[in-house]
Amino acid sequence: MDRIIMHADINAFFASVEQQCNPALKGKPVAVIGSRKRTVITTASYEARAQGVRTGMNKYEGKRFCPGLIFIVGNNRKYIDTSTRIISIFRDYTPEVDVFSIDEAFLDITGSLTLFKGAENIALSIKKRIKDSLGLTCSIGIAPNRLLAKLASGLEKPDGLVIIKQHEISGLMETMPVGKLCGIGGKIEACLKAIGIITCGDLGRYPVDLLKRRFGIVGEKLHNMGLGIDNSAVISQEKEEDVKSVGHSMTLSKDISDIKSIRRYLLQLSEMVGRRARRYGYSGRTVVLTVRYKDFTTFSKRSSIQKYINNSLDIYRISLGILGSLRLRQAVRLLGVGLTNLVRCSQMPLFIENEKYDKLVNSMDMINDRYGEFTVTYGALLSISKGSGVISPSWRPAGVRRVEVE
Amino acid sequence: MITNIDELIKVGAVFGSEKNMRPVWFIWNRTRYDIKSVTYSWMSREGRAVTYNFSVTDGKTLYEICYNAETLSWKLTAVETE
Repeated sequence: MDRIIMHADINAFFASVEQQCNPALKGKPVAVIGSRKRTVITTASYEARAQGVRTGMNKYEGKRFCPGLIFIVGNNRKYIDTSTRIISIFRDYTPEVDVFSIDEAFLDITGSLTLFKGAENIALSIKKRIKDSLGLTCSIGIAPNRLLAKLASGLEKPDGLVIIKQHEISGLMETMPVGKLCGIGGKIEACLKAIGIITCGDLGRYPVDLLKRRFGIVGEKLHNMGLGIDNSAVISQEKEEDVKSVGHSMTLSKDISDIKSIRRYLLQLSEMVGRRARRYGYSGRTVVLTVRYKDFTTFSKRSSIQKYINNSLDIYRISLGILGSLRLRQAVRLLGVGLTNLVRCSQMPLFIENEKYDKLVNSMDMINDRYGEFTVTYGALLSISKGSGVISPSWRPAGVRRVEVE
Repeated sequence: MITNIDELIKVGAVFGSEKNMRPVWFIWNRTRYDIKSVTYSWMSREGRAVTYNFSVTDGKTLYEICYNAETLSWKLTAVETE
């Protein structure tokens, strides 16, 4: 039986939520930004997009394109709750929901077609429920695979519904620009253009061997993409592979060179990583430190140890060791700490000192679980902002990928 | 522009049968504000405490109020000002 995949994308998600909260913003150019100093536009309303405002622009760029642009400091908790409610609506139609990001998901509705009288009915019902309960619109694409479903949802925005049937694929792909496909970014598009490939039709016809020679193993995938073939499955969270790492990073409010401040941020990040690892029962034996300089040069360095750890101070000490092995050449813009080589258990303490320390950490965790993150923390962290300020692309509504935000 | 307030307030609310609640009025600084509409609502957590947040308007101004299900208290969290 042919699969039927749906891709649903909430239109201008954060900006639409804000327009819904404050009706005075409806119909106006709105940009949602972060609360920190060096923030960028995370979402722009369609009215702002019409004037050239794009995600990733800073406030000044946004104003340059649209002098009347209204900035709203985003409320991540509001968006996370809204996303969780939308995903819950999706799950009323199929258990096969693959949350792609906070505002989009793939649904395998193959097994639900009879129950809900067809794919179009499911789509219309989902759109109505989201509109009625939250006031938001979404664009939905329905197709035989993920690649085409995602393509379809992008063809009519906002509030669209596009269905691509099997017999329509070759005709549609013939003239479709390759850049419209999810997975073909600006760089690959430019490389393809250099060899005369503009449309998906061109890509599908191009000899696979030549694509492989130029792009390596991706060559065959590109060939299939050109033909509209994608055999990847819709993987619900329950079936997802276990996580491979737990990490946090933060762009600092200003570039810093002062090693004392860098250490303090590393302690904060280590605590965030340790807390999340402990909450979900993970330990790891490799710590990864990521540094981005003020000129955006970014690199990571890792250090592995024999035993598995998830105590924040252990993570911190190893990240300090990595930091000590580096010669920082510029002021630091971003820091990240990650824990990898994970296993789902923690090592029993062998010595009384370790046992005491584990009990202390456990008590701190219990207090923070009860009263909120960083209620009890290290003295060095008292004066800096706490928690994650951004919703990461790998955010998921439950489990270790659900990162609590400020 | 949103101005953060974070003050305890008195609220009259209707608790429905389907786990929903609707604030109807609130008193802040000895003034009663009748809520014309709830424009949006969302839930959040602070530790174990669950808070129910509402964007509400009295027809003139937009307010954000929240109910803490742990302490059974209401707060005015923010006001939209010009």
